[in-house]
Amino acid sequence: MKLAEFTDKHIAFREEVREFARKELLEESTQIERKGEFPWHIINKIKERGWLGVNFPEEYGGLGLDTTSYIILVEEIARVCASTAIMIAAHVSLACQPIYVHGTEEQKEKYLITLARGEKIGSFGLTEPNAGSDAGGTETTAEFVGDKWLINGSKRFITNGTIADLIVFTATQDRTKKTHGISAFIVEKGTKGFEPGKEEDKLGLRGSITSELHFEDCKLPRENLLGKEYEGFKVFMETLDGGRISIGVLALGIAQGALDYGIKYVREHSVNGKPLYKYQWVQKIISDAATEIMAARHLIYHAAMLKDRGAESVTEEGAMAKLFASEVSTRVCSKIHSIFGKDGVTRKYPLERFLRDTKLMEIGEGTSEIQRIVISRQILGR
Amino acid sequence: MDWMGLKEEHKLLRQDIKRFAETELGPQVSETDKKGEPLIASMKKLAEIGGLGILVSEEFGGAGMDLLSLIITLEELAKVSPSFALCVAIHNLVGDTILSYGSTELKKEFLSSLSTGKIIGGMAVDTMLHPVTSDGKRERLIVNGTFSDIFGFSMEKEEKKQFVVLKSDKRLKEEKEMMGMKSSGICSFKPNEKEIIERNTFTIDSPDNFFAKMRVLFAGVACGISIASFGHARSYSKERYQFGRPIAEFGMVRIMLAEMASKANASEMLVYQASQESGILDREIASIFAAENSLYVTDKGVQIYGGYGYIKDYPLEMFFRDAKVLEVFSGSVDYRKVLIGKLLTS
Repeated sequence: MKLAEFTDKHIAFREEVREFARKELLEESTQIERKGEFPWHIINKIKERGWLGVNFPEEYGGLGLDTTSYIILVEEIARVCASTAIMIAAHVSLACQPIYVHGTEEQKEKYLITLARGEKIGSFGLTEPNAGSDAGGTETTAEFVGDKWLINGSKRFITNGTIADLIVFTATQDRTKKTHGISAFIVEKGTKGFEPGKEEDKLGLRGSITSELHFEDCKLPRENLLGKEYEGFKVFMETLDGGRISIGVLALGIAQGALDYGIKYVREHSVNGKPLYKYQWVQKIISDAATEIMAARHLIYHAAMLKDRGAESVTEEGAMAKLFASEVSTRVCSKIHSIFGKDGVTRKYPLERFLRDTKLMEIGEGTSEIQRIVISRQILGR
Repeated sequence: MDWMGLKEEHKLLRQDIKRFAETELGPQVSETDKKGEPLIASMKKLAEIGGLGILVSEEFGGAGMDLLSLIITLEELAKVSPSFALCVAIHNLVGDTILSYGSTELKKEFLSSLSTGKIIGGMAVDTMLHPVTSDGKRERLIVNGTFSDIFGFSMEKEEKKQFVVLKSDKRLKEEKEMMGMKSSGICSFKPNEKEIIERNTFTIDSPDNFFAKMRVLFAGVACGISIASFGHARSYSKERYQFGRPIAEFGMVRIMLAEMASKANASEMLVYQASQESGILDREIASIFAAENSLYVTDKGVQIYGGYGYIKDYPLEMFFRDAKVLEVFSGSVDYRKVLIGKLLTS
């Protein structure tokens, strides 16, 4: 499948990632998810290629490619192993990106370079037990005492939580101000008073890590504030604008991966002496899936390319892309799954993994319902 | 919602099974699902209240109740543990198949032991799609396989559907790793024609009826999954506060709840009705409707729970996986729709 607007460079990069995924990930992907262990050796290989900073300027340790290339990277990895892909997505779009956009020159020098080179792993802490869809309900507090920030509170459902060397997170300076009381900070692993907590036992993406974070009288230097005081909401809203495209493309990659297996399966298997692909009920599933995937791909790359062309905001396009792609992917995985019959529910084929993995895409970085609110606000106003 | 066809005996049975499910299965379900352990001891306990021989006549030690009673039982069990309900469905179906089609000798040998839970029966689930494996044999999935004493499977012989009952052996101990229904002791099995003993083989005169019955039982399990998932999501939506109020007050959540309730209730009504009709078409339509709706309802249930729907600390994660396995066990929905379309036009 081709997109009309891909440059030769994009196509070459896609080939490179695809080859990598096939050689290094394909065989192991099922084991990665089943064992539920973080695939460090794979991440190290990805790091060696510079892909953990794919879309950041070379002066900041990146490869200097565009957003579209980053999206290509996530799609091709997710197509084979979504656990690995979400780790990359959280690192690049939720940790590197806000530092790149909102960080001071010193912060970029100090943090972004090591993150983009993959020497350190990043994470983003926004969600809390009582602040999910409603980030304005953030309860983690930040007080400026003496010459330091004093942080108290807990985060939950944080991708890369226990493995991150560095976490961008939000805390409120004034709960009465809701979203306008929030500021963003950077905390490094090992800081006194900061401890990653319990890892979640999840439906899918079990090769990736999702954990709690705890702050107890954690003191951070003044310069660990990211962006301006009381502007944390702006920091994470802008971060999520881009993050949504990442989650959308994760869903797209998973759906494409499921379709890849589906096509292979219906070609190789027969029922009552007739190849599966010659049945109309199978043709309907495959053609609907391919069409929906193509539509999702257009929405996602459209949003990414707008960003590359300097669009001021991709809020609406990103939300639409994520909403559509994540719902398409659940539908596609479930339908392809049903062609496989019992082979779809046993672990003989990876189909069952694709379905479990993709369900998160309708939830993470804003549920489908929140995407609908974001989109309607863009269209109808507040 | 109470269906008007329910008799007093059905309502009493429901209360009994509900109590059993909540007290006996409730405390174990989460751990056994994580570990993939079947609840064998609980099956023996269910036998004490007559749950293992519901369709079997009293002369053979059963409860002699109707199909609707079995469906209600499965539904109530599935509301707590779909895996356990599947085990009970299959066990009851083994007894019913021997009762309906087996020889007097077989009935005498197995029926009362099955009904009293002295022995447990397993059976191959037919997915209607049996891609032939590389060694030319069909791999079958046996529910209750890892712990049953006997198990049955159907096969084609001289163009007739034969049902074979075998004693379990160690080949069946190899558990199949499943995405859901993890406490159902599912394992794979490849029948070997040589070891089939004539005495334990009988013809199923009406295979379509046999499969329709199996599927309507699975539909009962699916209804339990849907109703419980809706119930959990409704409670959660009233307790979970975001933006200063329960999420139940948001329009988009209300729409999901309304859709879940209508699909769960409509499935239940249709399955109850189908249990009273002997027509294959009614049962096929009801079972496909219930299966598709249980996927929809569990999916939206996970959605309402948000992040908490994606983790094992809350029940929706399990219901979501179980619903998918159950759908597949009844046969690919689209393939079944083609068959229903054929029945509708022939």
